[in-house]
Amino acid sequence: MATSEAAIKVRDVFHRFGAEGEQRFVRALADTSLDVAEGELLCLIGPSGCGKSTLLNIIGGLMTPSSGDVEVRGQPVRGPLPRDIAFVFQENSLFPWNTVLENIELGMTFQGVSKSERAARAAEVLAAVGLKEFAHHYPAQLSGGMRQRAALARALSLKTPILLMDEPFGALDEQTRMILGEDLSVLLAQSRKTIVFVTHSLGEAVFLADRVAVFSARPGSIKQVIAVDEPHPRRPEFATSAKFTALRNQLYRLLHDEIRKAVQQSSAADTARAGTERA
Amino acid sequence: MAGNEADSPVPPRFRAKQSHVAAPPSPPSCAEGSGVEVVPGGAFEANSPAPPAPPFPKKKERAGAAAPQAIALPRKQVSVERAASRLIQAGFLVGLVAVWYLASTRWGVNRLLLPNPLAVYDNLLDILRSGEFIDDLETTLEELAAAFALSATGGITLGYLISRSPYWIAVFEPLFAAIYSIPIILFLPLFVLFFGLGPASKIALGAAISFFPIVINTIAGFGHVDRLFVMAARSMGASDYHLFRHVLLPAASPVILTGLRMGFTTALLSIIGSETLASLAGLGHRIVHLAEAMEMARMFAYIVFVIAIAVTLNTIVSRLEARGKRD
Amino acid sequence: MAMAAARRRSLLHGLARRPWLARLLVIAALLALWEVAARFLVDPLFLSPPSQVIMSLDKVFGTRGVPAALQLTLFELTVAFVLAVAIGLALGLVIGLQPLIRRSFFPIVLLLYCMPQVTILPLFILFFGIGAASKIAFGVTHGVFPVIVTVVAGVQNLKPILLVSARSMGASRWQMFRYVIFPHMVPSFFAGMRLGMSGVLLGVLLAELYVSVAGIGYFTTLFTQNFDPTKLLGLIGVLAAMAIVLNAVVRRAENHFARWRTE
Ligand SMILES: Nc1ncnc2c1ncn2[C@@H]1O[C@H](COP(=O)(O)OP(=O)(O)O)[C@@H](O)[C@H]1O
Ligand SMILES: [Mg+2]
Repeated sequence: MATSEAAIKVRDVFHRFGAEGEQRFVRALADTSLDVAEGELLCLIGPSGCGKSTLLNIIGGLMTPSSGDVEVRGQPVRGPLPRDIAFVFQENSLFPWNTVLENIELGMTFQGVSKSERAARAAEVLAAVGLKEFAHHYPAQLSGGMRQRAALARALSLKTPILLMDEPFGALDEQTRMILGEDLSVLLAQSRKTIVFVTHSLGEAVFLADRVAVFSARPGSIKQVIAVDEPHPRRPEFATSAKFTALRNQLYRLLHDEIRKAVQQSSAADTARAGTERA
Repeated sequence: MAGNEADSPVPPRFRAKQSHVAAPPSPPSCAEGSGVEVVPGGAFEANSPAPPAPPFPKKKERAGAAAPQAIALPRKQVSVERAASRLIQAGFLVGLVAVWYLASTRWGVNRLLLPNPLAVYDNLLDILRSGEFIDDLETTLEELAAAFALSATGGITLGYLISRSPYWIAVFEPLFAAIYSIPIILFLPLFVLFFGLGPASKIALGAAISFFPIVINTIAGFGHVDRLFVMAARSMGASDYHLFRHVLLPAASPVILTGLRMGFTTALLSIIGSETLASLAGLGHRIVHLAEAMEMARMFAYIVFVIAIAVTLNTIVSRLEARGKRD
Repeated sequence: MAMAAARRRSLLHGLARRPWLARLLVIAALLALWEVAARFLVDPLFLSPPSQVIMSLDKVFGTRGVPAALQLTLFELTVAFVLAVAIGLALGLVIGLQPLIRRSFFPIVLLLYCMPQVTILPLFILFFGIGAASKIAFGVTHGVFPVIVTVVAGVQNLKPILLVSARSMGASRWQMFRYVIFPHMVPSFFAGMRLGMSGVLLGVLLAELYVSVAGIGYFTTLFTQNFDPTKLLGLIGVLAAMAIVLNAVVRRAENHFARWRTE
């Protein structure tokens, strides 16, 4: 597993929103510790609302945890680390007033990359994600899948050693995400980046990950970590193999109870909220 | 008329329109705390429920809380900030009056330009106590009621009829939009020529000006009803009446209400405007009369009075609009 | 017979596919109605037929002082518009970007925006005199509020994810404004410019009509008092056409800068 030096170290991270006693008080993340090795792809999977995005944002320096520490490549995280970490968000985060190409170049502009270098890198990543012909389209003119490819291209163009992906294909249909998953596996096998990938799809997790961390219901903490021992890039045949199915079933059993718990939790919260609103 | 949708399950009269009718840009209503939001058409609408998150998180929070979710502040902090802005508002108003007072008493600004605020206050009390404003107020309100009744009836009727066919929408909507961009106050001399200096010219001008926002919004409202709603209602066997009552009207009414509010505000504005420019009576006329007589303190008092009336009326209408949209 | 019917059908068909043609017909019908009314129904002291108005446009502009008056009014409009946009943009950005300022002053702006400013028109004349200054000032106060309000709105309703994503890529505060907040605001800024232009037109023309010692206001009053509806209609018509054209130009610009929103 974690054979080489850990690229990301998460130590006893706890996070809550709001102060105790307030209505919006939420314990989003229980004490969580986690190492991600250099070059590893780790999937986070868990019931919705269990704090996966929170953890990812904390790792990326977009939020400071209520307590606990995060180290990225040996340095404690104090804020965003644009040179080390690139994000792909679930929501469409392309700037709608820029074309695909402009979007990709803008990220590099923020980091002071020279103009010629920007053009070269943009061409490279556009080709890599297969969007060459759409360089001059606006995001509104693209399908959801193409938009996420563009967001991925933007993240790749920053040439960071670490990539944090928060349900990047969450809003896409099953078939599109299958194809994107296969392409991603190929791309990432070439780049050997360290990746943390949040997903709610069991299949996607098994197909992409070196290890899958299963979260418990809120306040989330890691319930179990499952290794997927299969070389990259993963072939489409892997998805139909017995090994894949077995791993997938194992994940399903682990998750099932947690998801039930989460659903009950949220409907209880809804009832409580409805009660206070009526009062 | 346009298109060949003969085999559509929906009778042509109630086809959802696919034209690109956009409601005209609407000035915000005066309802307290109304947020403003720009809709893709470039028009903007008031009364959006919650103001969006501040673009820059405040310095202290920047390192931390800029979560992908909108940033909500703890309740205590919110109330502190609200109190702070109330304080600033109060300070601003007090400062304004103080500057006014000092300018008129100490800094030697000509009394004929700027009367003492205390004198204005006395005059305002006198106006209210003596009730001398009643005739002018009555004139203005009667003109307003007549003008608005005319434009609302005409605008909604015509707008509805036009919205029944995508073809007529395509014919008339750009026409109305073009006319809407003319400052119709230009035609005031003509209205005076035709209708004289009395209330008739005010009513006619007010009705003409407020007609356009109403008709344009009515067309946009009825013309924009989502085809899916219509098909869903039809699939459940809704009659024409049911379709109108339970689908078209509720779907269109928010936009129409906005049009009515805009029509009301513009009618009020143009009536006071035309009273100012050419008339024999009414609140606008009274102000001009006092200006010509150089009775500054009394004129200021009337200005305050008229603005208070206008703001009150506009606020009532905005509230009604908001309530109508909620239902 | 059959051919005539076919031709008629194709005419109807052509009409059905070209709403603009029908629109022209509607306009023509209205003009015809006006023509008939003016020739046969209404006293010529009050209304003259459109044909006559158009034929004597040259006479309107030949009237001594009219070209200068138009020029003056255009000058006032231009200056007022530029000022309203510049001031509105600056204030809108300050109000929109600073939460405390926004919460404190935006309600005041909205209140001022929906106040009938005509009531203080006499004050403008008293303060700024009867020259161009008062008209420009009155135009600015009418035009500035829609610009402020749309700029504030444009700065406000930005999806938070876009700011988060820019921050994650290392955008500085200035870059955040330059590349995220500002471009997001541009389309609504143009919408505001269009509303602002309507406001400026209204303000300047109101002041012109009120003062009427120079500029357009003088001549509309003159033509009205002389019962010369031909010239009056000609002058008003030209100004109305101008307003339509200007509005269309700004709307074009608005659509151009908002093209990323749809398509
Ligand atoms: N900014 C916030 N303010 C208050 N509560 C939040 C905020 N962000 C997330 N939460 C809450 O924290 C919990 C975890 O959220 P999140 O990390 O987004 O979950 P996940 O990504 O696993 O679905 C959820 O219950 C969510 O409602
Ligand atoms: Mg999430």
